[in-house]
Amino acid sequence: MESGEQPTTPPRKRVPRALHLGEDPDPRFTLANERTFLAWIRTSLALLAGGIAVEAFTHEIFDDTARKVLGTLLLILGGLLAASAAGRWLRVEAAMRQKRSLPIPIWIPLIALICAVAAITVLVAIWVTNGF
Amino acid sequence: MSWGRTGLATSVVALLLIRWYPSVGGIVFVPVIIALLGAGLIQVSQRRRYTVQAAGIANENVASDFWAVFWMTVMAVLIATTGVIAMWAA
Repeated sequence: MESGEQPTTPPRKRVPRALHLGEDPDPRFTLANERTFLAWIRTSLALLAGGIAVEAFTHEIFDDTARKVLGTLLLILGGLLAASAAGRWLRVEAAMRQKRSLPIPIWIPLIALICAVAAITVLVAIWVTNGF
Repeated sequence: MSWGRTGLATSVVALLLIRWYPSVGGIVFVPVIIALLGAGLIQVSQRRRYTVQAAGIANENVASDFWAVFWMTVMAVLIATTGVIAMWAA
């Protein structure tokens, strides 16, 4: 075991092992990591709200199937984003405790791509429905 | 502030979900109740959280709040899952 992985604080019960390996980081970094997690959760909630809104408010733009599929995609993406935010929070916390480099957020380019595709889809749907 | 904002966003999702009631029916109240419960728990735990965090900064040691992160994630995933089920069950 590397020296950075030695537990230096009393292990807390019922939390992942990664959270009691290494040394406690600066409390400001721990709180910043929590705030970043919460920002991702709010993004996830925004996607959930978008999925709900697509189903509730787009009757004049999409037919039933398209509306449900788009709403479902947004809800699933929101759920996946929340789960991935928790995974990232844990990886960052473990990296800070063991003084390793922070992990690269692999979701960001994917989310940007999905948002761009969704925006273009809605734009095209509005043009097709109402004309240019 | 971050937890408070997240609680408010959760409340907005819950209230928006009620808009599904005419087309989806009573099943929509499952995710609504989960979201309102989550938002309520966040607000109720705010005083304890800020006390712990303020003391932690003063003492240069804050334990990471694993269970708050865990339950927040479970709540968001449950809202998404029950929302999808409610949408297709209608």
